Amino acid sequence: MRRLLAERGLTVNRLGGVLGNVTAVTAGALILIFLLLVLTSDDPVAATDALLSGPVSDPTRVTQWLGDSATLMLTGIAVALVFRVGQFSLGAEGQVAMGALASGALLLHIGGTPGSWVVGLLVGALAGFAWGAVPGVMKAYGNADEIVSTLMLNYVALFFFAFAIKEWLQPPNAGFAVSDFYERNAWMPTFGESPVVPLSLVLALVLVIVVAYLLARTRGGFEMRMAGSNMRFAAAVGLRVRRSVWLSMALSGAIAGVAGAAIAQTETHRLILGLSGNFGYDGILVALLAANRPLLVPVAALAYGYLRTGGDIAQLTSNTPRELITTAQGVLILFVTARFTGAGARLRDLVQRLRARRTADSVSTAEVR
Amino acid sequence: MVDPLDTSAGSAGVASAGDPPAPRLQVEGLCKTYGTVVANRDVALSVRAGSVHAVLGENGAGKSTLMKMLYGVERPDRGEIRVDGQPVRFGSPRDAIAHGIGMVFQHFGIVPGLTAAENIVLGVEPTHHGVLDRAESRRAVQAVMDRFGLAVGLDDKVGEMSAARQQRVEILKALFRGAATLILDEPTALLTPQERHSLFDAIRQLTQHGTTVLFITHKLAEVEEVADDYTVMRAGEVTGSGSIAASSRTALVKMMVGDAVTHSRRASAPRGAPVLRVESASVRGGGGRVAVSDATVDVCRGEVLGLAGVEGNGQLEFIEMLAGLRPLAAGRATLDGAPLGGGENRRARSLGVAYVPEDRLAAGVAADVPIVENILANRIGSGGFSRFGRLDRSAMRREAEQLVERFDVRCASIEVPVGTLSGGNMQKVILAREISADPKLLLVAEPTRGLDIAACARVHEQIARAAETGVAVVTLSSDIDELLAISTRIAVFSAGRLVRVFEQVEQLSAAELGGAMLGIGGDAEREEAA
Repeated sequence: MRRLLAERGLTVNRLGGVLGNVTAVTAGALILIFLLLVLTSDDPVAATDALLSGPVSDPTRVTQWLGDSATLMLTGIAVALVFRVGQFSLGAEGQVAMGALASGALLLHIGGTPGSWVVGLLVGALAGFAWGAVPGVMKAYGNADEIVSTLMLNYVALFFFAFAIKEWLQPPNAGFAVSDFYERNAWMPTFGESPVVPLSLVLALVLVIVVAYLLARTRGGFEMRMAGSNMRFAAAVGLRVRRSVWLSMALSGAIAGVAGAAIAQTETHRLILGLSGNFGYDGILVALLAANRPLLVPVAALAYGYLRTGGDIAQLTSNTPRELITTAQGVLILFVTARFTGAGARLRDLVQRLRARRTADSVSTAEVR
Repeated sequence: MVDPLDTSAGSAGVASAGDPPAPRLQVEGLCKTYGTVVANRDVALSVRAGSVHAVLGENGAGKSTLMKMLYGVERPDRGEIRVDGQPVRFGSPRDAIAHGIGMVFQHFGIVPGLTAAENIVLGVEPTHHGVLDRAESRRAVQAVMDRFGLAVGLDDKVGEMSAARQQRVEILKALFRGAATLILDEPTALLTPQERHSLFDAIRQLTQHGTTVLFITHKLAEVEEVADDYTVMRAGEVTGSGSIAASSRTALVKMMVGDAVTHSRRASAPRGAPVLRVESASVRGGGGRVAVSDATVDVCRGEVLGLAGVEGNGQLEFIEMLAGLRPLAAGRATLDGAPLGGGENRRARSLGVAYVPEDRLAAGVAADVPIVENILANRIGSGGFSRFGRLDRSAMRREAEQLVERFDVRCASIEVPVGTLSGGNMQKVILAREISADPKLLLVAEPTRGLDIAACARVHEQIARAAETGVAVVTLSSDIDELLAISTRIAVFSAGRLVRVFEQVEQLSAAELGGAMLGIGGDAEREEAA
């Protein structure tokens, strides 16, 4: 682990520096958020308190935070994997739904069998793999723009998810689009009472390490990274570029599929409309926050999960409007990304270059005499 | 065509009738440090009015720093700059322009969406009651063009122009602002050989009208062709200066590189059995046009076949076909009997083809990835250094260390991103990668584009050694002198056809080869040169 970290250029010292920076930036963002809340909320102190300390204020809320973070970790690492190969997939949302649907459809039939929860996860992974492979193959062999295809496939997946529940899985007596509850054997195990630590959190951490290992230490991962760094170079030195593209997108789908299955098997214990709950899109955020570095994904997921849960609680306990909470979250994320991620570095680089350019231009546009 | 003997053209220019009182531009004791790096130490420079003055030096010798100080972009730590004998202090380029100094950077500062005329007057547009006066703009620009004898299409969009035309717009821009001294930073870096010649013609036009030209380069052939005087820099210091007419190429090289090895070597192995056979090959280029038609040639073990041709005459597409990046449209190509030319790069590699692409950064390396992974990428791609898909990092490190040592790559460690290396070291990483795969056929497009003299010599040495171990080498270069120096045979492409193969390169002159490239008979060209 330490060697892996060191190879990624993260020595303990540097990690400490990063954390120090994070504190400074977060403090800046918090002041701005508080000012926002002062301007709009009847009780800004309570709203700020709920937003910031809500997730740890009681064990149930800690449970929610850990559960959400586990899901975010899964979707985050799924998205980070694709990004590392230089592809911009937006498809995690649909893959979460397809994973949940496939695992649910099976578990509603065989859920009584001991250990069936494992089968549920595997089937979720398989469905996500297949669903992710579609835009992957389209990109690799047909050069179809993956941003468009993954986004469109999300709609297909989400509407099919709703349709499947209403048409086939909804019990006659249910007033809205839900399936029956899974049987106990289909539930994913959890540890502890209050707070509850879900097994999905452990699974997420394991998958993060697997992806980190895949990228850093395997031949297939090497090819993926090279393709992500410079596609023309990867092709010119004879690496399997097409395979890297479709396989990474399919593997990413598999992880997102597991996330979907895990949500249903851990939290809802049935299929329910809106189950994917934006976790797929939030995974993009997590990946960006982690600068696509697998080993930073857990940190980013826990941090973002905290913010997400805090936002939910602030809405419930104060009269702060939802829009404002989202704005406040946006401010915090903006601060962090502008300071730490590759996108931020590129932005700073651009600003500097523009400045240099302006000096050079003032040169050429300056009037003679 | 580069004719090393013809140095008379520029120097005739504006001869000084009774020595002028002060040089146009003079520099004494100029120093500049960046942190702990000394970029310029006690630099002295003296530029005669109306002359073409070349500032020569290897990459990193401090030429650009000096020019930036002359143009007010950087301020010297110490020392004095004099214009026409008057000491000046430039706080910004604005001051330099006010003293009649203009600069054309390597990367142009033009607006692609505007026309040439609009770019030239940008920022100093003539106005009529606060409204742009287009007619007056055109008239004023036309006047400058007429005065210096430099023409561009005034209404052409600059973004649609070639690099050479864009450069001309930049030069006109500086002249329009009243530049009497023009600084050109590596002006030929982006130009084809033909464009180079028209740039030199333009420079001569300028000096005939009294403009002084200062240009930075590391290419001696260019200096000999166009410059009157020179100043050579090495490691931040001036190592020599004087008149080109009174200096020899060897002396200049010595001043530029010190004791580093600089001569290029031709492979000296006897030619072995044919390995690559190409018969009536046709290849399509970009946009589906036929780029190569009916080319037939054999390449043998131990030889270096140079592909000559004016850019865009099919030689690049030919080499890309061999590399498996373009399929054969007709004909056949075999390597040791196995068919090539299916357009499948992995297959070509598995048969023993290695390829150094012409554009180093775009296709030769993954710039943000460490040296160790760049230098082994091809062998990892064919299954090396891994067991059951797991990479053997320590074996990779060992091998990379050895290659870095053997190919003399100068780097802090094999873990640094390859993009942080100089062009020469990057090219060595690429050659190390391709040669270490033990190929039967090594394809090298533009082996030394952008490299300085010492780096060129090292790259050429590696190519010669590869050939001497029995590899068949095919190389392509837009630099005729380079082809003449390293090839054992030269094939000439013209209009997509392989028109001629010179078997005896030792006796071949640049003029003769250049003539063949343009489709002129060798004899006619020889007469012209004489």
